[in-house]
Amino acid sequence: MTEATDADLVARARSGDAAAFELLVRRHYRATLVVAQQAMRDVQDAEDITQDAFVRALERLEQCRDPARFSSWLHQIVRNVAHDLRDKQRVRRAEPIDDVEPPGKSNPAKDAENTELRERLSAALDQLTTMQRTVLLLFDRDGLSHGEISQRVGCSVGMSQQHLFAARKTMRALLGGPDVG
Amino acid sequence: MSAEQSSSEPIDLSALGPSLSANVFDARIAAIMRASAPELERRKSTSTLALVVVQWRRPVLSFAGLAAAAAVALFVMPSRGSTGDASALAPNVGSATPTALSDSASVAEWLGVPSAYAGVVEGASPSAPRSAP
Repeated sequence: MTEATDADLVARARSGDAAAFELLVRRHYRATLVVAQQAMRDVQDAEDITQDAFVRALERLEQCRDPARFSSWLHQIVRNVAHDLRDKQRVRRAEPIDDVEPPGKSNPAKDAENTELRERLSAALDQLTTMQRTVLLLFDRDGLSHGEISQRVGCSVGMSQQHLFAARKTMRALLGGPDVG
Repeated sequence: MSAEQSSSEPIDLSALGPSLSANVFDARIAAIMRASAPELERRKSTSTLALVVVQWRRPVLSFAGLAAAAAVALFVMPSRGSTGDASALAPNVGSATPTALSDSASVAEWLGVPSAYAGVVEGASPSAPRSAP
């Protein structure tokens, strides 16, 4: 199976190819959700802005100057959408955004630790290629097999294994050795 | 632990939030596709129109070129004919009109253009002055 690049899929999606756009969404949904969760503490808000970001991205696909770096462009849209939403919420609640209570208030120390770890993981994930990031999230977080991943993201089983191997290696290097995880 | 071995161990990504089950993931993708459907449809129809234009560009340009060549020929031939050899045009015009192309009749007259206008176009003075003082 030949692995379609993001640039190919963006070009096809520009001409209204729904299958190409769906493959883009499937590839980038999880990583985009991670970025959204970084920006929004509320899980439902994060899911909403992820969906909104994909629709906005489709509407502005011509503005994506480097389709090979679609994920970077998409993540910037997510941050913009999150910023807009936080502004709306601040106006609605008439309170500073920093005062919004994070979920799981019961253990602030643990929450802070989790937040720091999440930010470190997100920063490390940003260093991976799109396929490495997607395969890592699908395999290590969602528990999919390489066969399932290959069908979902449009690559071969062998390539999925290679992406996972490279992703773990990079993550461990960035996060500080094999003890992570 | 070697790099090879460490890369075979999973990385704990639970801090990123709960994992998505296949059903939840598919449902969210479906929701995004539903929300994107109008834009995809718009893009498809625009693309189809553009494709039609591209596909017909060559034949349309070819036809336009032929029409332009024919028009130029039509304007050039009468001016040559008026210099004296209108009968040379007869084979081009067709066998149905040989008598119309006599020496005394210009091609312009045969085409239905008044001789006064034809004279102006050819740079000569009109054959019939409007009203001389």
